[in-house]
Amino acid sequence: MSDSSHEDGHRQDGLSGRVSAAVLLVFAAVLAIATGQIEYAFSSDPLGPQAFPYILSASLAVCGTWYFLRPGSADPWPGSELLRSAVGLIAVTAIAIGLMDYIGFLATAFIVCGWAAYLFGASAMSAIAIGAAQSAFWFLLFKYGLGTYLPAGSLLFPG
Amino acid sequence: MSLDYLWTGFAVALTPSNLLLSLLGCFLGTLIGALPAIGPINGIALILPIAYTMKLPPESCMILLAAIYYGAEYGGRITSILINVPGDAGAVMTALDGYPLAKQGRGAEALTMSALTSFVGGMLAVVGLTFFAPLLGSFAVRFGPAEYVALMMFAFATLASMVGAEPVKTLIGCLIGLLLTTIGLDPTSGAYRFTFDQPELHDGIEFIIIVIGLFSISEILLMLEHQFKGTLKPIPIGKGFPSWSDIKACWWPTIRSSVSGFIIGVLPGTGASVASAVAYTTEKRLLDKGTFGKGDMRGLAAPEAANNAAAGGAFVPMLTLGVPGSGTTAVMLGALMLYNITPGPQLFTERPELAGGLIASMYIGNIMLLILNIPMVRIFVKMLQVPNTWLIPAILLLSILGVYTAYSSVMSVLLMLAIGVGGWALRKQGFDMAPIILGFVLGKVLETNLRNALALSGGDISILFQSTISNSLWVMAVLIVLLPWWLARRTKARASAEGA
Repeated sequence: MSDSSHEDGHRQDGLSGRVSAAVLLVFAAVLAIATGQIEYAFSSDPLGPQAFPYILSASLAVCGTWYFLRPGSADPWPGSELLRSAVGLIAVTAIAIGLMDYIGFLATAFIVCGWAAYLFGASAMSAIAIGAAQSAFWFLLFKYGLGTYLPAGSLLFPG
Repeated sequence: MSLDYLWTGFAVALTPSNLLLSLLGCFLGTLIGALPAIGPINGIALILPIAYTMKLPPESCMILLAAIYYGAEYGGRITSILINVPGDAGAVMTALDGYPLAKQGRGAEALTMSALTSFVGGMLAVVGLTFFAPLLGSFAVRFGPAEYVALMMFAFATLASMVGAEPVKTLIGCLIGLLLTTIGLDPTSGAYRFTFDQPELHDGIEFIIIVIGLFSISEILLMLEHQFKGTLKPIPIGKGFPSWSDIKACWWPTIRSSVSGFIIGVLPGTGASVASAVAYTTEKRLLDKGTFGKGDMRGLAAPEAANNAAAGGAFVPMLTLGVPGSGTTAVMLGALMLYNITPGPQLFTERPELAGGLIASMYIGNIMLLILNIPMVRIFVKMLQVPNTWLIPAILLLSILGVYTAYSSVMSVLLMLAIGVGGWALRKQGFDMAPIILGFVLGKVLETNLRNALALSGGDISILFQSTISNSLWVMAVLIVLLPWWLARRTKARASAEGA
């Protein structure tokens, strides 16, 4: 198996597969250590809370070794521009969600929708319009149509 | 068994007010089901207080709730097929072939096929419920922990069918799914496992967080990639009705999956997600020639028939034993208790208008749902014509709303995002999301029952092989793994003998 052959847009990327396998092996080891640290006074069953995770970490180690030896096919790593956008999308979404209790659902939804629209090709003005329209629509539907609790935000409505 | 209760039931269900409630329930259920995370349980929980305050008689209340249940089961498929965001746990398997079909411009056909197979699954389940309810109720109570372990192993054996060109990735996916179930409080010992002192993790990771993260968020990131490469194309709508050859090809998978789905639905604690997983993997095992997962109608028909049949099957233990077969029927059981009605075998003789009315309304509701949904397919599918600059922000926001409204926790939404990024990385490495979901669905039931079985036997593992039911399941599990392998070897040996 060649590590650099191309087929159907998929690359036989042995290196990226091996890196993933190595991460998996480290994860299996960490899992086994964390399982050993599970604290419990007693268990009403003979297996206890540790047996199942131990079996899983051992199986993961076996599969990880197999995966390391035969990494198979994988997509190429994303280019730096795409990676920047992907990280940007997730980071802005995560920050907006993290601030939701403070800035309120409407502002969070506006940021998330507007930013996503912009990344998917809308102009800045359209992105603002999409953000405003979608946040208002979903807010009204969930808040008043379904009676769901959505935070108003302590910034606008302190106390 | 006398069917007098059913005739009484039809007399109740066919009154104009109950017919109207049935129609309203189907319509509301479809809308509710289409919104991520507002699945059947939440839908029923939302409507129940309204129905109770409206002072509906118990049979009318149950008719309305059952119609919402069925409607939501169908509604969950719409987003699953069209935008790869499963509305509830039972719709996850539907996305595996439904979404590729939509991407090929066959979304309308897929929705129609889903309506047809859901109808067949639902109807067969109601027929089963009518004739076998008390019998199946007594069968279900014979399932102890050891039998559940055997059933889960059978389900895992069917999973072996998903082992494709890279079996190690399927296995790793499955192990990741199993591992995710171990997070949180272990009820048997009271120990916290892998919670890292985070209170949000004490109850474990909820299924909906994993499903929306793995499917919806990772899909958005993949779409972003296509946007960059300029390969993100508008999806054509296509014609509305599946071809005759598609219907013919789906016939037996639908019947088989309806039967297995109904039986799994009868077992308490399993339900639609396990039923659709078993049906999908079984059909893949039997029929797949490399087309499942890439837009095979049969891969859509099987889980659809199974989860609707399971929805009907879940009523069997609820009505006959007072034991809910699924989360949704648990809420409905609570609704009955609001009216001071305790379900049990006597329900069919003492309150025939209630048991019969409910079952009769299911026949009517299924037909109504089919009539209601087939003309609406063209409307639903227009969703695909919404430009990506509008559609993708809506998917992202609905994913956030789905998790937030279910758990009212910012941490849960952030966790969903993190799982989505993990899912994207795994998909880039050629991993499939289905084994992770299957591992997660089956993991908790497997571990709990394995430990309960060994607790009962004092650690003696032979308890797993003592009953006829569990032994039959073990034999079936072994056969399902070994038979195709043995057949392939025999064919190969024959071919080489003929060549020589």
